[in-house]
Amino acid sequence: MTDGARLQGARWRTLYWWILAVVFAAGTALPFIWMVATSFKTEPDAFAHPLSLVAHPFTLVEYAKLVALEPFGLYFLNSAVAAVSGTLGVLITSTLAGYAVARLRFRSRTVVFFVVLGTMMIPTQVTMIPSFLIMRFLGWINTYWVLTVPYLVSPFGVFIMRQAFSVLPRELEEAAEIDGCGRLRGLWSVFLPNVTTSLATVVIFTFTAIWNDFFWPLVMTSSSRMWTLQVGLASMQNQIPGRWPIIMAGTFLVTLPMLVIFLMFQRYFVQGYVSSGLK
Amino acid sequence: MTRRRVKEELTGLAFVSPALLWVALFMAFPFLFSIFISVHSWSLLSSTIRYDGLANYDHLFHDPTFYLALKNTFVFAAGNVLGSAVMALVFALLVVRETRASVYFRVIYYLPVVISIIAASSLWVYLYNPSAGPIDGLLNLAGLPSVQWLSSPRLALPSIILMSVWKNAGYYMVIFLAGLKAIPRGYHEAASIDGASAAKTFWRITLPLLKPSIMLVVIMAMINAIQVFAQVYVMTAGGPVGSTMVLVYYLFQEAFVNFRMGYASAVGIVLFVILLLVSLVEFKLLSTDVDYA
Repeated sequence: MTDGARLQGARWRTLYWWILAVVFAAGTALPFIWMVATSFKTEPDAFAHPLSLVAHPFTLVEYAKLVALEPFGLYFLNSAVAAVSGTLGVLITSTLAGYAVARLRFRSRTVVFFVVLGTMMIPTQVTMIPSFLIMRFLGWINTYWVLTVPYLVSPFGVFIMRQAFSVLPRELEEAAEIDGCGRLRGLWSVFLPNVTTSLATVVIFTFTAIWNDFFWPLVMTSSSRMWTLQVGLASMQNQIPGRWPIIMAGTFLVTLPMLVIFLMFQRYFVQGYVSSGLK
Repeated sequence: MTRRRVKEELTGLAFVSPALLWVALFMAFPFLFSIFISVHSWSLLSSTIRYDGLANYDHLFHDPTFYLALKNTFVFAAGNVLGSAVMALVFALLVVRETRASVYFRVIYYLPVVISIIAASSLWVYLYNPSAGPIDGLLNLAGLPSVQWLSSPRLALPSIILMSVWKNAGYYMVIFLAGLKAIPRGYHEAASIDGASAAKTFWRITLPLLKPSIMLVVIMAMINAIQVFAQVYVMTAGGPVGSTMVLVYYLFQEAFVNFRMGYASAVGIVLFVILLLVSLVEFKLLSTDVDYA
């Protein structure tokens, strides 16, 4: 093969690459663009021009209707209460348990770790019925208890923090001891500054998981004043079927916080390449 | 034991106690409780609880809806696993090189992963709508008739599979990216020096060396797919005529619509056993790892 032919081949390959990459990107992204565009359309416009990517005329009236029709502010508040308190709780409980299992020489630590890890094998769908009966027995159905306490611990969080603490050098214990720190002080001032990436991963993972959770709040709340955004959005589909601009407005509002968080912290989502060196 | 050892022991237990308490209250006890419920006739409507032995399981194994749900769950899982894995691998191969464009395309391919399954389902109900949806718009543009994506018994399940592949492929792309990067450079260089074509290099070198990632993706996708629920809840409610009835939706319906807690728990236990078997197969297959040496 001559150099010229090789160069030509490389050009063709680049062209094919761009065509494929763009086609798949369009397939992935077009639904989002339609969602946003339709949310700003009037109903007649949405029906007449389902393919158009710009609203004509552009209107915010469907958002106004949405807020009048559904207590979206309340759903948002409930989702935020669950996600924020759960994320803080998981941060604390995972750090304590992960640190203890990784760095403290107490006898039951291996058993504890495998018990916590083993529960990741039990899907929440299987325990949903007994959990419902327990929550009902406690009188927690349709209260904030059911949207907060069950989210305070995450076996996955314990696992991540245990991995993070276990790779730190032995000298850190000595440093903490020289400073005369107790265990808790040492954990706070010597160990935590060394695991900030893992803490960020736990925060992002937990917040996303709780914000997007559906089955648990669906089962545990029947009164709409306790609904989260996900439960509220799911009910819209049944209550006002076929009113696409308003439904897309709701869908976009539910999606927006996650999209913002993702675009701000995308390297934590895509941990695969963080570990392979791309920053 | 020295005082120091006792103190270490107590500190350790104190630190793990919140996690352990949670596991006991929200995982271990409910799991054992669900086995207990499954051997009772337990109705929330009439508030009657009666020991029933294995009657729930006996009914279950003679229940045509259960078999329908089982079949649909596995059809969904097979389609979703195959579709997601292939799309994820195509995405990963496209964006594996560290160019600026690749990084942007990764973000785009990953977008559907971060939105909630409810938002994604809601969005696709609109996309699939045969009178006002954009997919219908595309069909009309091509001069084709409208298609009843979600209201035809033949197409409803494949439509949910397609939407789920769109939602999940980016997630598994990340695993394939890590796998592709773990393949030592030397293999592809050697193949290129030997004058092997790109296709041959892919089939003979990349794919076999990617086996651990492929297994991981297949098993993870399988376990997730078997638990499918929200898509069905929003998009079809198990219909039309049971064509999208899946195990978890059946469990939900029996427990929280018909309030038959015992029977629904039996469905849950069967679901658990299925997931356990799939996981065991996972460990067996993953332990036969590829050796790069």
